[in-house]
Amino acid sequence: MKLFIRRLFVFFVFPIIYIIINSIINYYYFQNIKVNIGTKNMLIAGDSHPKRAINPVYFKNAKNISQYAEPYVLTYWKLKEILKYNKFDTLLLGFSPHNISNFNDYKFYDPKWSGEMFKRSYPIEEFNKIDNQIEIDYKKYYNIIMRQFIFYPIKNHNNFIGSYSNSKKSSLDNLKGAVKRHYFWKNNTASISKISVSYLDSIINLCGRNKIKIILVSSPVHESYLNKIPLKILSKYKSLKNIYNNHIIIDQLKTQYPDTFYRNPDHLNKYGANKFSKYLYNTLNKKKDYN
Amino acid sequence: MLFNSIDFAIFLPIVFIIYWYLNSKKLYIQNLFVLIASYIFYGWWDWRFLSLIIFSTIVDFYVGKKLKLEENKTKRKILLLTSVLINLGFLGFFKYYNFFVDNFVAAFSFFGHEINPNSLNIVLPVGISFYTFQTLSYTIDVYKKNLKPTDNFIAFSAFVSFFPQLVAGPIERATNLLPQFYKKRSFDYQKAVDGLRQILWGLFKKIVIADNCALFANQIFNNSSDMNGSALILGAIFFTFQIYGDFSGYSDIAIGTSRLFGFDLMKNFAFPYFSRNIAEFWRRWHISLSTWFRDYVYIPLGGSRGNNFKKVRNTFIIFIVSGFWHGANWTFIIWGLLNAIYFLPLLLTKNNRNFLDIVAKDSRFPSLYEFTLMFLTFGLTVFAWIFFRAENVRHAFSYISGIFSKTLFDIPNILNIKSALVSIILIVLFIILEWLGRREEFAIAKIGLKWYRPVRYVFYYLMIFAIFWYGGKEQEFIYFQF
Repeated sequence: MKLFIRRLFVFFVFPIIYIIINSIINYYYFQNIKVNIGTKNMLIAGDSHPKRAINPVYFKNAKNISQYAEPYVLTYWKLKEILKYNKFDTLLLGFSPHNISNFNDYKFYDPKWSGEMFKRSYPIEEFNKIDNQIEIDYKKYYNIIMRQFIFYPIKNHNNFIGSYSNSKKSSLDNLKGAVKRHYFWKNNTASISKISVSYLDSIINLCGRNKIKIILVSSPVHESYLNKIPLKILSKYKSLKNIYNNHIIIDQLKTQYPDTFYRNPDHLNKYGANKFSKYLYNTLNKKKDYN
Repeated sequence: MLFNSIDFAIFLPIVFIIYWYLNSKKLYIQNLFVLIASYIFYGWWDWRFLSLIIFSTIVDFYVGKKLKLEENKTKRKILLLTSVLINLGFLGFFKYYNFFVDNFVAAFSFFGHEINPNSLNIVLPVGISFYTFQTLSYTIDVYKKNLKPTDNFIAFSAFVSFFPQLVAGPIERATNLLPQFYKKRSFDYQKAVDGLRQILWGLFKKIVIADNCALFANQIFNNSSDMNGSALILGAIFFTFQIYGDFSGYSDIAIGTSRLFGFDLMKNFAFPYFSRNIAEFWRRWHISLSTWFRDYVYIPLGGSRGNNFKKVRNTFIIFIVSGFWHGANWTFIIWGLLNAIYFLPLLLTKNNRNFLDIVAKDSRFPSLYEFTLMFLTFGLTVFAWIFFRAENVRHAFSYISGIFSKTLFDIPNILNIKSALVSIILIVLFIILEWLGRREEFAIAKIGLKWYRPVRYVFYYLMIFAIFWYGGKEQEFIYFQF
């Protein structure tokens, strides 16, 4: 038995040393995270809608930092972190009905999203401020942190900076899946996410405090998807537009593009993104208060 | 608790240390500790269902004691029937109640009579299909006088609830496992090391192979109407390795863990995908279940003796019952039926006892003939697994018709095709390791034993790295709630 324990100890010594060394190195890199957006004066933020729909090449000095499935909570933490070391003067923020649907409240809990969300948010999270409002799978969270620290040195722990991404593909087949994901939670119609609404407000206030012009943007969705958005959520979306009408709001939700311009029922593809980005650029240029 | 969880990673060393510390004490204390640890293990999932396993244990213990004293044939049959009805009654209620109700309603609707019975929201107790069969093996063997009934309630309870194999097998025979509780276990260094090695291999199969394959199998099966033919074939193959990695991996962890505690469990999988015909497959797949059905159902029915009608009848009964054991769905029954159809020609032509040894036992590679047989057998099992995985019969048939379409030779239209390729490479590496270790208890039992220790350690470290890399998500074992 003693021989067994001794051999077991010897066996595990090397991996433990390996883990400790990696953890120390990663902790050093983690403590010294400095997000650098370069000399960009415009940021495009939000989830897959602005990620796919707004091509930064059509704007002067713009960077698209959007990421798939990003809730406003995460966008807020991200912007706060970026503003520690960078300055920019304009923010294009994706703002559509699904952004305020309460399926967003499960992104730090449901296995579909939580792993990815934790991977992005661990350097910037403020879970203690929200864990009384939404469920957080802390077990999964610590698991993700462990995985980020022990395997090998990671110089860049800021997984929260996204980019523009799209393709030429077009398929309107999976309407049911998209609607179910955004507006139905466990077979019940989704309600409004209070925390998403609250953090939308926080983002707007953050921009105000830092003298950043915020522009709320909703990209076109296919009418088959548009017709399925629950009235309750549409109504809240409209009321928020009224509340924030002192800011620039570019609502192209109902604008219909040719079917071949949609990646799927609620996202534009490359062709749609080019058209929408050009439109956005021209519209912003015409607006006096933007300039 | 799942074997691939932090909870078990903490539970096992604690139990291990206390268990061997207690080795210096009396045997019944060691058995009592195993019993308590097993109840904690089982109750971790839901403590309320401990009452079921305790009740089942008490009934079968007292049935055994009564059978010891009773010589009257009729009364002995009544005692046996009591045990069978109670155990199968629990199993039938928890597992099959809603199935029978739904089909009863469907049958009535078919004839134009609508009825609205209540479907119950029944939670299936973890491992009920396994421990009920395990205790039944005790009462049946006592009835047949193949085993002396025990007076040691603690030893018997520990046998029924022994935590390594409680929730997903192997389904142990009382003749094998119960006597191991009668004598003190002494620490065996080599057994413990083999046990650890088997646990490592089991975790690798479960986490690196099965969970990886599950991601793609689920993606493809859950969206099968959108997939092309080649993707559907890939989905079936991914599921084939998912179920094998999952289930045999769990068995390896169970057997390896038992070895750490000085117990020997029966082998449950013997490289089934290297089988050269379906009969060989069923001698190598879920051995504890197939031998249970053979000994307690097939042979009492007459087995393969008698005329062809009886052989056919018995074969269909055994495979359909085996299918039904897996789940309350017509897909499992059809899966069983398919396997019966595969098996029958071999039985009727008396070729079911060919290939008793592992393929290419004395050579490095199989012959072309052996390879062809393995390939065909593998193809048949992959086809049958489609029914096993499908949500319902309609889904299974639409899946199959999707395969045999003009998109069969297109590039699979799955998401993350690069990740899928990585998974395929892992499967190939896995098959190579399995092939190299096919003559042993488990694939890596002897691999690397002749290497220098540092080199062997690096091999194990790579496996542990892969386990941690692909881990992080607890995918429930397919058989967890059987």
